Amino acid sequence: MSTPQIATVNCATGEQTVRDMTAEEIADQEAFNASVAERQAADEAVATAKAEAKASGDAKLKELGLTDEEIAAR
Amino acid sequence: MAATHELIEVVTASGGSTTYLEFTSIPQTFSNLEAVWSLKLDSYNPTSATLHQMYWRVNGSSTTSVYPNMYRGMFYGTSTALWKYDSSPYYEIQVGLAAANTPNMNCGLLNIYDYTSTDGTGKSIQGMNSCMQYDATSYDRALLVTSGNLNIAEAVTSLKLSAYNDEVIADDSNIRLYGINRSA
Repeated sequence: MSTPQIATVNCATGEQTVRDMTAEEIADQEAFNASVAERQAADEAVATAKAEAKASGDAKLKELGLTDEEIAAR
Repeated sequence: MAATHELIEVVTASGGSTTYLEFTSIPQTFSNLEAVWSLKLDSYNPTSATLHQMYWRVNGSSTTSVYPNMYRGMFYGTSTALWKYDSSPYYEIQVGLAAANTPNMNCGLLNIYDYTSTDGTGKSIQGMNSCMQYDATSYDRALLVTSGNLNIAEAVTSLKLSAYNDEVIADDSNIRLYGINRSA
């Protein structure tokens, strides 16, 4: 893959430039990518735990005699 | 100053390797900013996107206290579309970049209120977007509203959009930046 590029428009001059990212910008991008991946994994873990708790709770409600419609309406 | 809605500039992806779109030297003469985008990912670079989110940062800041936000909407047929972040190093918009194989670009807009304020609190950032197909392998829909504070004690002078993991934004995708004055 070629070097990532950044398209910038300077609002004061109206000039748009497209250039390769600098080493500093690439380092920033790598740190940014890592932070996104970390948060994505954390979000997915929370969502999975929540879904599992809901499924467990729904199963217990069903054992108590609630219908699927009643469970969904909560 | 009379109420206005004025195009400031347009930034357009070109050259086949754009992962950032950025506005710099934003004029400080309006009340609000409005960014209107039409964006999708490039079909060859990469062939399959990991995430279609768009990530906005102002003034180059990645400070987590700056971008608390929440979103609500619909990812039809998939996971919940309800979340909140008490802190965040960026303002994230889910499915802001349409998949490469979608017939249409993702369309949406972002508003930043009172962007010239230098107070640490008080600025507000709001987005809404829709994408009629966002997954590279199945037909789907995404409809989102995203709301946040913008807690930075500086006027907003630059606005940068990043794709994830060097995913490339398709050429001719663009963001139009408008300035709005509320006062009559």
